[in-house]
Amino acid sequence: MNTGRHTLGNSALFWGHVFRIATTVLAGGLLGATLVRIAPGSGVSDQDWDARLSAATVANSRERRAAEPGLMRFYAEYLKGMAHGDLGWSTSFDCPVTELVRARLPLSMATLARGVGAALAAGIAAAFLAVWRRGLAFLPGALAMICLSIPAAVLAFMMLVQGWPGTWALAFAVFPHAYLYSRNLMADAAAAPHVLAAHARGIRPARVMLNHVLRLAAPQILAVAGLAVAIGFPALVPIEVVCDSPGLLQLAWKAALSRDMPILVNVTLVAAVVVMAGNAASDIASRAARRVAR
Amino acid sequence: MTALRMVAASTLALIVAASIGAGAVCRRGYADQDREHPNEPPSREHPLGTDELGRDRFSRLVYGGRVSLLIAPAAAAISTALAAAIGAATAALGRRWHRTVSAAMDLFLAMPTILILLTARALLPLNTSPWLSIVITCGLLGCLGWAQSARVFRERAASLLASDFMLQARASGSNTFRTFVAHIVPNLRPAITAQFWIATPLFVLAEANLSLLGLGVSEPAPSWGNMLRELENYASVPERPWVLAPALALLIVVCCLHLLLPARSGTGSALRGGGAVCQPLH
Repeated sequence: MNTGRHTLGNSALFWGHVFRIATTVLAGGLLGATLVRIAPGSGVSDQDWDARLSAATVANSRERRAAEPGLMRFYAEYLKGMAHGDLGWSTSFDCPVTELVRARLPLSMATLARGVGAALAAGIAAAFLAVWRRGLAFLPGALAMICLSIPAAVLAFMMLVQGWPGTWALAFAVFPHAYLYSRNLMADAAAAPHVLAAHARGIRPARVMLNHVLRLAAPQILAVAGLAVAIGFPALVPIEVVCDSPGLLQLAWKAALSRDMPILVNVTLVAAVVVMAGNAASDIASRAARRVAR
Repeated sequence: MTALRMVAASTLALIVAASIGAGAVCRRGYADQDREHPNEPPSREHPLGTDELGRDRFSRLVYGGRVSLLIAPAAAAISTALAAAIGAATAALGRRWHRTVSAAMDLFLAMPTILILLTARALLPLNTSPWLSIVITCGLLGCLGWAQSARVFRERAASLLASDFMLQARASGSNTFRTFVAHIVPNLRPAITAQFWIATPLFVLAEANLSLLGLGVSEPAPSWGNMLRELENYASVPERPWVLAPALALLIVVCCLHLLLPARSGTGSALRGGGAVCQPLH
């Protein structure tokens, strides 16, 4: 009976997250489409001022833009295309947005996985040491504060100067959050009555940390992974730009400079899906860990 | 106040004072060009050298502080005011509004803020005057950074509305407007102050990132973010470490702001072994 109820709970949780992601994509897509259409200057292109282009080319470009459909039809076309994997046409790259996203997303995801993974490993290990031995808290605390106070782009420049890859910049940008959240969770767990009782009974501190503190804090620490994805993915924008890494977030920056709204709207949606999927995965893992801990 | 917080407050006061009195501190204007001495190393004439247009880097740093330190608190004030108004109104206006606004908040929180900033910035004219670019950057940061704080205010206002003294106020015939002005706003003030101070360092960094990407404050107006664009020539940084001065200024200011945050509301207590952390706008 219990197993059945848990399976139902897991399934409801999973579908709840899927529904939330789908709703966000739909609402965000419509919002983005609206922005594209009603924005001042949306019908104007950089090509209009490009002295290298002939008058005929500029006129042709204007005609093509004027022939674009109205708002309601644009919504319908957009949603229909999205359902078929067609995210529109990039005006600056002159190719389908789907193609650009498909080519660039894997690199960004790989950088995100490596950077966030390294930050989480270092942050949780540093938090463990800081709670276990209070005297060790200053060093990771100071490093966390320094990393928090430097823009991600400057971290990326510093890595470039050192000859290190952009992944390290992401790891340094996410580390303070992973460390501080994990440290607070472990500190709260270390103050729990049964943990204090274990100390009073003379159980070795290392054993108390591993068997009680870490076990108690583990489900919430898993939730920190979702947060790390939410912090890490946007941080990739300046990092990919500075490191000239041909990822999805560098594409967003290029699109912003050339006012390529189809790319910007779709990259924002993809980023929202990645962030929400990261949150959903960590939420499901966190609940599973809570059940195991019980 | 601990010694560390006093040092932070003094340092911040000194930097703010220097930025406000930039005209007295600097011998040159931020846009004055010395075409005969571009890319000069530090000297008595130019304490941080000159940039590629021969502009005094020290003057630009001090005047840039004025812009960076003006935008961040102004944007924090806008976003906190918006968040407080939306959060409190959501709590007061009933379940249907609560759901609608909560859905809008969730949507905003799911979308990475920097991408929304890029989108919004791209929708606005890129060839604006420098001072208009400052206003646009400030307005965008302020208008797009409300969602996180609005949740805090919504919960706080909801708990206030459910409290006994509010019940008594309503029973005494106090109307909604008076209830808000006399009871909700004064009780939200500590939360508003805390959120403002939490948001300020985030906006300092967000402005720097946005300007560094070429979508924030535009030339010739200086900001610490657009001054960092000199790092694009990163291979020469080891020979010209003084180009890192804006990064150092950012580090000092943001560290000081973190240290001045209340113990449980910010990262400043990281050094003291406590404290939560706020999500960056990047």
